[in-house]
Amino acid sequence: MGRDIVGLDNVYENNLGVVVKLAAIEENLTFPETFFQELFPKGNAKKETFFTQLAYYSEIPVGCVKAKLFPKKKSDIFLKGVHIEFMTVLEQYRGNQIGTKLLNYIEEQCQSHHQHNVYVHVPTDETNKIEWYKNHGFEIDTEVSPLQDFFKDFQPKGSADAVLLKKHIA
Amino acid sequence: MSARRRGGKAKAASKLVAKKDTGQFIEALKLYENKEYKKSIKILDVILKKSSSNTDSLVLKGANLFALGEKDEAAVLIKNALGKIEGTKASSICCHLLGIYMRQVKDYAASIKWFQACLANGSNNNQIYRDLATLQSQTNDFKGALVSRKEYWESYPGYRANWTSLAVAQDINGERQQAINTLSQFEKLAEGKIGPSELYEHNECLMYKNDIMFKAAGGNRDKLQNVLKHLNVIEPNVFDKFGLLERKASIYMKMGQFKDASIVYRTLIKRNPDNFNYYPLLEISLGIRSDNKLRKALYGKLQEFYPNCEPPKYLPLTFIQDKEELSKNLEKYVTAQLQRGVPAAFSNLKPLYKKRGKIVSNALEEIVLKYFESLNPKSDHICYIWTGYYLAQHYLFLKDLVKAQHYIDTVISHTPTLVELYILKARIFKHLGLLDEAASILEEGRQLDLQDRFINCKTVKYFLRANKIDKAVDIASVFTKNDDAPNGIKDLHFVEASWFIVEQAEAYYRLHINTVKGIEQLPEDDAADATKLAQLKWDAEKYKGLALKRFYAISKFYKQFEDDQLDFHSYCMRKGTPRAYLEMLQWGNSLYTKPIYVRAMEGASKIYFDIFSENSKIGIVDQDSSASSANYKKVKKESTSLRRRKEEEKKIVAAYGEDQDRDVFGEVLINTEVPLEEFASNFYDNYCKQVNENEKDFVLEFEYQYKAGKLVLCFSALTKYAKKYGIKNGMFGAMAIMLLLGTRDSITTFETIAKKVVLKGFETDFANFPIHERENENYDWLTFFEENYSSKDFSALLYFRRNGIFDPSRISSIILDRLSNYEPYVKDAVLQYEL
Repeated sequence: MGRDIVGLDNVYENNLGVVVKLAAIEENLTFPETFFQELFPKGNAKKETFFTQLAYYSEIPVGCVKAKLFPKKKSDIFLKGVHIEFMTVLEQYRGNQIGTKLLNYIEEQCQSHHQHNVYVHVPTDETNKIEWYKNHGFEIDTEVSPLQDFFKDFQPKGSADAVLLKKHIA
Repeated sequence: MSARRRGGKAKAASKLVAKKDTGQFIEALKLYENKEYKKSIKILDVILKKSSSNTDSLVLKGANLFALGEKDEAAVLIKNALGKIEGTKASSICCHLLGIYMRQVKDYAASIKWFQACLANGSNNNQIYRDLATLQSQTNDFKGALVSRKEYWESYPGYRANWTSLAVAQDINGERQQAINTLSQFEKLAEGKIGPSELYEHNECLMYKNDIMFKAAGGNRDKLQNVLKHLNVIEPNVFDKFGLLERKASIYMKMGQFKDASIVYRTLIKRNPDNFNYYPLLEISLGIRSDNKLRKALYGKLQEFYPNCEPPKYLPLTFIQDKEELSKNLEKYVTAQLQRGVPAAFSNLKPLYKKRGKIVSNALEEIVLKYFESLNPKSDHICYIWTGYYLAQHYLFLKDLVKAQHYIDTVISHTPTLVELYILKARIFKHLGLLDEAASILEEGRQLDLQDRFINCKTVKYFLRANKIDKAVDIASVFTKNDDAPNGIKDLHFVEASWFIVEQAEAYYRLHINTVKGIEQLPEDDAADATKLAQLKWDAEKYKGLALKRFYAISKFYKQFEDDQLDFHSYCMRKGTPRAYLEMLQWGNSLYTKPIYVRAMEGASKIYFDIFSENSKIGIVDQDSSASSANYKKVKKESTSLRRRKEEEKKIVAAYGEDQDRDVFGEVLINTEVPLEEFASNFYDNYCKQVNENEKDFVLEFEYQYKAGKLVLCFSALTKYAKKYGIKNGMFGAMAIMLLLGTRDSITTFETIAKKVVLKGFETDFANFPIHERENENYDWLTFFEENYSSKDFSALLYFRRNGIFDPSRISSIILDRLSNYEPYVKDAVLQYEL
C-alpha cells in the first residue's frame, strides 16, 4: 500500500499563518487576531485546551480544524463537550475525505478527553456545510437553534444567525 | 588569533642581552612564554627604569601589552623601540619578538623582515623557518618560501608535512621534477610504515604527485605513458576514484587513444550518470560531436541504460534541429516532469530558452498550454499547480508580464497556501516596478512558514529593494543571534552575510539620493524651517555614510578571507591535502574579483566620486559657503532633539561592538579629504592587483583615472575598452568624447604633456573621430553622439550626466526617450535614482 496522500499534522507557532490564510479565504466570517493567538498563549494568559490540526495534501496544507474543549457547561449555547470553532478545506481539494479525517481527529480527541458530545455552530444560510455535518452524523439541536446574531462580532458576509449541530459519541 | 600563534617561542636566549640585566630579562621572557604577562611587565619596568633605551625590554613589554589587549600602548612602545634600532641591528630575541608582533598586527612584510633578521643575527632556532615560510606564502613570495621550506625540511626531515611542503613549494616555483623527486623519496622512506590513520594523507600525496607529473608531461607521449603507468600503480591506494578516472581519461585523450578514453568516460557515467560534464566528453572521445544522427542514437541507448537520469534525456534537446522532432522530444521531457509535479521544470529548461530562443519557447508554450488545459483542477491538483507555475515563469521569461500575472493568480487562488507561488508572484511584481507590492506579497508568503529561511531572506531582500530598511532588518533578525543588540545587524556582520550588507548599502544609497532630492524640492516655507532642514540634512548625510560604511564592511570581509588563508599554509601540509591547498591559493588569487566584492566596489566608487566632486566644488566657492555652513553647525548644535535621535539610531544601525567602532554612521568615511586615495586603498588597489587585464571594469578605470587627473591612463582604458567592445559601443563614444574634451586648451586640471599624448593617440588609433572639432565651441557633441551611437543603450548617457558633461535636461530627455523600450523595473530605477 502506498503512502496516504492526505496527512494531518499539528499547528505550530511557525505555521500559524497557514491557519490564518485558510480562515481568511474559505470562511464567510472574519476572525479576530486573538482567535488564532490564543492557540499559543503568551505570558500569564489563561491556558485553555484546543484541538487543532492542519490537513496536508501531498505536503501542501489544504485544510484545517480548530476546536475547543469545554470541560464544564458554560452557558446554554456552550454546553459541556468539544466545540468545533472552525473547520475548512480548500474548495479545489474537497471530496477527498480530508474533512472527514479532520473530524475523525476531533472525535478521537473528544473520546480521549472523556467527552461525549461534539458541537459546531454554522451560519443558518450555509446549507452545504449543514448538510455535510448532517452526513457525518450531526443533528441540529432544535432546542437552542436558531441562534439570533450569534456571529455578529465576526463581520459575517452572509447570515449572522447560527444553528447548533451536535454529534453524540458513545 | 589562536593561542598557538600568540605563544611564539622566543627561546634560546643565550648571550646578547645587556650584561647585568640578562638574568632578569630572561625571567621576564619566561613569564611571557607562560602567559603571565603582568608579572613579566613588572620585571621589565625595573629594567627599563635603569636603562630606558633597552630595546629588548621595550619590545618584550610591547608584546606583553599586546597580549593583554592594550594594543595602542603596545604600538607606542614598539615604535619607540624601532626608533632606537639601527636597521635590523638588534639581538636575535628582539628580532624574533618583533617578527611575532608584526605578524599579530598583520604587517606580514615587516614580520618577514624581522624573522629573517633574527636568523641573520645569530639565532639557531630553526622553527622560525616554518613561520617564515608561512608568511612568505601569504605574501605570495613563493621563491622565499621555497628557501625557508628547504631549510626547515633539512632540520626536521622526520615529518611528512615537511616533505609535502617542500614539494608544494618546488611545484609552485616550476621545479616540477624536483617536486616529484621529493615526493618519491618520502614514499620510499615511508614504504611499509603507513598506518591506517595516514592512509588518506598518503592517497592525497600520491594523487598530487600524479598531478605534477601530468602537468610536467605536457603533450609528450612517452611522458604521458609514464603518468598513466604511475596512475595504474597507485590505483589501489587512491580513494578519489573520480579524480583518478578523470585523469586517466584526459591522458588517453591527450595521447589520441580515443577508444580507451571513451571506455573510461562510460565508466564515469556509470558511476554518476547525473553529471552533465561527462557526456560531451564522451561524445568527443567517440568522435561524434558533429554528427547529430549518431549523437541521437547514443543518447537513445543511454536513456535505456539510465532511465531515471536527466542528462540523456535533456542533452538531445540542445542539438535536435528538426522542428517537429524537437517539439516531440520537448513534449516528452516537459510533460514527464509536470506530471510528477516537479517545481523546477522551468529552471531545468531555462538554459534551452536562453541558448536556442524562439524555437524552444514557441514549442514549449504550445505544449504546456495544451497540457494545462487538459488538466482538471479538482483532481490533478499537483500537476495543475506546477504547470500553472511553469506558465507564469515562461511568460515572465518572455517579459509578458500580464500573462505571467494571470497564471500565477490562477494557481494562487487554487492553492493559496503554497509558499513558492508567492515568491514567483513577487518576482513578477518586481519586474512591473511595483517594489512595495512585491515585498508585501513575499511577506504574505513568509507568514505561511516563519521557519523557512529561504523565504525569510527573499523577503528581506525585497524589502531592502523597496528601501524599507527597518522592516527588512526586523525580518532578518528572526534568524540572527541578537544577544546584546536590538537587532541582527551586528550578527549579520559577524557571520559575513555579504548578500545582506551589500543590499542594505545600496538601499541606503538610494535613500540618500531620495533625501537629497527631497531637500532640493522642499517648498520654500519648509526650507525656512531650520530644524526640519537640519533633520533632512542629517538624514541625507546619515544615509550616505551608512551606505559607504556597509560597502566598506564588504571590503573588510574580503580582506578577512585573504587573511584567513594564513593558517592553511601550515594546516594543509599537516593534514596532507596539497591538492586542496593549491586550489585555495588559486581562489585566493582571484578573491577581489568575485561578484559581491566588485559590486561593493562599484557602489562605493559612486560615493567616493560624489565626495570628490563636492570637495572640488567647495574649493571653488570656499568663502561663500563658510557662512551658511557655520549657520548650519549652529542649528546642529542647538537641536538637542536631533542629537537624541542620533543616539537612539546609533543602537539600531551599529555594525560592530561599541569598543571596536567609533564611527557608527560612517561620518569619518564620508568626510575624507582624499576620497580617491581612500577608494584606492579600501577597494580599488586590491581589485587591480588580481583582476585579469581583459576582464577589468574599464569604465570604472576610466572614471577613476579621469578624476585622478591621469589622462594617459584614461586613454589606455579607452583603447582596451574599444578592443573588447568595439568603437560602435555607446560607452566608448561617451568616454572618447569626455576624454577628447578634456584635452582642450581651456581645461587646466590636466598636464599639457598628457593632453598632447592623448591627442596623438586619438590621431593614430581613432582617426575617424571628429578630433578637429574639439576646440569648436559650437560643435554639438551630443547630436554627434546620438547620430553615431544610436543604440537603445542609455548607460552612456547616464555617464555623461553623472560626470556633468552637457546640459542635464537635454540628456534627460534623450534618456527618457530611450527608456520607453525598457521594462518598468529598469525604467523606474533610472527615473528615481539617476535623473
